[in-house]
Amino acid sequence: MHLANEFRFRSYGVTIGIESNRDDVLSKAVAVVRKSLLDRLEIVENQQVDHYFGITLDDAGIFTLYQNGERNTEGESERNFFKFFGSIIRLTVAEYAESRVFVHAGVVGWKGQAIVLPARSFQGKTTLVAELVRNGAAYYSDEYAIFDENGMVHSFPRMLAMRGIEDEYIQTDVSVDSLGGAAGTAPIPVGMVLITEFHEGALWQPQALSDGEGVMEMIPHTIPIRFNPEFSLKVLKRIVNRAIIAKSPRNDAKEFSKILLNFFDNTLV
Amino acid sequence: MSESGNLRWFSLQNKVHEARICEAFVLFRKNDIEPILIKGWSAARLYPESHLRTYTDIDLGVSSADFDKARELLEDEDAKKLNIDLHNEFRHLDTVDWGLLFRDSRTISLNGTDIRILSAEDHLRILCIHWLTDNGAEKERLFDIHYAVENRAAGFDWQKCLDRAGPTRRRWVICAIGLAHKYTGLSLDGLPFSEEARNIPSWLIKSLEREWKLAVPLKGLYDSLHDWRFFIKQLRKRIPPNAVYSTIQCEGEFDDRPRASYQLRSLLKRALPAIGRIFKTIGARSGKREPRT
Amino acid sequence: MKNSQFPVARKNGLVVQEMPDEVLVYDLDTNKAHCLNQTAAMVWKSCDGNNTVSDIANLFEAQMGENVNEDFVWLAIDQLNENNLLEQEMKSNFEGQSRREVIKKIGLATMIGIPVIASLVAPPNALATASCACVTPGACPVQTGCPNLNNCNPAGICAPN
Repeated sequence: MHLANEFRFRSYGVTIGIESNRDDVLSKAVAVVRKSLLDRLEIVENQQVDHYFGITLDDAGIFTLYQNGERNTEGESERNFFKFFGSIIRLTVAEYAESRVFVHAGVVGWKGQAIVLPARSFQGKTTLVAELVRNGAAYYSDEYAIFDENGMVHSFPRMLAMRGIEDEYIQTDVSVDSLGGAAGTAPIPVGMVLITEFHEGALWQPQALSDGEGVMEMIPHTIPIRFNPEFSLKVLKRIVNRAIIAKSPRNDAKEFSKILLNFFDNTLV
Repeated sequence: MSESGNLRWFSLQNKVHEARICEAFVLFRKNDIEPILIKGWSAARLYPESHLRTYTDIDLGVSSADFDKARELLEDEDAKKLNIDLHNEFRHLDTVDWGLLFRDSRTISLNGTDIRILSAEDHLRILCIHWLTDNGAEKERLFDIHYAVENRAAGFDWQKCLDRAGPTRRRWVICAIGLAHKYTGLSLDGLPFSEEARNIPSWLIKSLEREWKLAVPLKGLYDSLHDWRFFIKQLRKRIPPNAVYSTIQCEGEFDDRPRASYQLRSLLKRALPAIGRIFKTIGARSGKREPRT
Repeated sequence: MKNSQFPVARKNGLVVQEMPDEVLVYDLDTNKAHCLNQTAAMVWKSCDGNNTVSDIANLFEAQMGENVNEDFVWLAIDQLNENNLLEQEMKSNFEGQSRREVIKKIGLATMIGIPVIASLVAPPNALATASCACVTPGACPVQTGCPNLNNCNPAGICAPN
C-alpha cells in the first residue's frame, strides 16, 4: 500500500514512517506522535524506515491503521483511534529502541535516586506516582522507566494519565504542575525497585528480593525483552545489582506514598 | 485516609487517652481530690466494638471545695498534657446536688486504676443535657445516648434518671432520647415514656437540622475577631439565637409554644456581656500599637 | 563478630496497641506514634534484657522457621534506637556496611519482611473532627487535645500539618 502523504522520523534510534491518504489525517497523526514521544524525535527524509504505519480515512468515516503492511485496527471514533495510535507508536519505540531498555513502570526521583514501580495497567501506578509527586518526589514517568546501558534511568515525563477523575476507566491528562510537583530531568541511579499492587487494608511488609528474583519480577514488564534479550538482561542486572528490590502489597496511595518515602529515607539515604 | 488507617490511628489514640485518664486520677488522688469522670471514655465504654467512638479530652468534675486546688494542679506542664477539662461539680449540666451524684457514683477498673464514674442513670441524664446545651451540634454524639440506653444494665432506674432533676429537665431528657430514636434508630420498645419520646416539638427538629446544615463550630465572638469572615459566620449562628440553647438557658419547657420569648431573653443575657468583651478586646488590641511620635 | 549487648525494650511512657499484623506504639513523652510491622514488632518483643542479638536471630528460626542473620536483627534494633523504643542506646553492628548493603544481603537469605518502623500520623478527618479547644490560631501547643500541635486555622479547627 502506498499513500500520498508521508512523515518519517527517528526516536530513540527507531525510524518510523507514517503515511495517510489525507493531509489532515497525517497532520493529526504527526501531532499525536509528537505528543506521545514528548517531541523527542528528529525528522528524517529519504531514509529506509524500520517500521511503517498507514492511516486511512474512508468516505464512511472509518479510520484504519496499518502496521508494516498489515491491518492493525479500525474505528469510527477519531479520539479513540488516535489515542490507540499514540500508544502503538510509543510501544514500537519502546520495543525497538537502541541503547535503551524501556520498562513498563512508574518512576519518581527522591534525593537523587529513582524509585521504580514496575506494573501493568490498572494496577494504580499512576495514582501512586501522583501521590509521591505531591509529597515532593520528582516526576520521571508514569508509564516507562527508560534505562541506559549503565542502568541509569532517564525521564519520560508525559502528562500523567489518571483514571478515576471523569470515570473509573477513562484517562484524563494531568500535568505535573497541577500536582504541585516538578519533572526530573537528569538521569539518576535506581535506589529502589518496588514490586507492589493495591489491596484494600494491606500492610506494608516489604520483603527484600535477591538480585535474581528482582530480574525475574521485572522481565514481564520489560518491553524489548523479546526483541533484544541480551541487552535487556544486561541492563536489568546492572539495575538490580545496585538497587534494593522490595515486594509488598500496598494500601491507599495517599497514605502509602508517605510510608514509602519514609522507608526510603530510613534505608537508602 | 483509608478506613484501616483511621482505625489504627483512633484505636491507638483511645488507648493513649485511657492511659491519661489513669494518670489524671492518680494525680488528683495524690492531692486528696476525688474526681468523677463524665462523657468521653465513660460514654465510649458502652459502644460496641464495631463502632469506634473517639474522644480527645478528659472531663472531670470535682467538688466546689476542691475546685481551686484542682485548677492549680492543672497549671503544671505535665498535667496540661493530660488535657483535662475541669468542671466545678456539674452545675452547668445538672441541678442534682453533687453530694447525691457522688454518693451514687461508682468505680470501675481501667488498667488497674479505679476510675470513678456517675451512676448509669445520672450519666445518661447528663449526656442528654450536655448534648442539648451544645445545641445538638454534634449529631454523631447522639450515639452516646443511643448506646447508654440500649446497653443499660438490668435494673436501670428510669425514675432516678428522669425525675431527679425535676419535670422540666425530665422532658428534655426524654426528647433527647426521642431524637436518638429518630436519628440513630434507637429502639423505644419497652421504655415507659416511649410515646412521649416520639412526640418531639417541631421547633426542636428544625433547630437541630439548621444547626447541622450550618456545620460551623460555635466559637466565642471575641475569639473570632481576628478573621472578619469567620466573625460574620459566628454572628449568623447566633441570629436568630439557637432555639434549643435559648430554651435550656432559660430553663424553659420543651413544649410546642413558640421560642421567641426564650430567644429574646437568651439574647439579652448573652449580648450585653459579649459586647462588653468585644470592646474590651478591641481596646486591648489598639492599646498594643506603638504610639505615634 | 558476636555482639554481647542485651537490648531492652522501653516500657515507661509508652502506650502499646496490638493489631493483627502490627504493633502501634504511642510515645507519651514525645507525642509521636509509631507503627512496627510484624518483623520489627517481633524483634522489639524479644528485647527483654536476656536475649543477645544473636539469640533474637535464633528465635526467628524457632518461631517462623526462617533463617535470619544478626544483621537482619540489627536493622530492627537500629530503627528501635532511632525511635527511642529501647531503654538504652545500642551500638549498631553493621561493621561499616550501609543499611542498603545489609538489605541487599538479606534478599539472598530470607523471605521474612524487612523490619520497618513507620511514623503514624493523624488522618485528616482526625484533625477536622477533633474537639479542638483552641480559640485562637497558635494556641495548639497548650491545647493538647489537638492532634496537630502546631497549627489551628481561624475556624479553631486543627489544620493539617
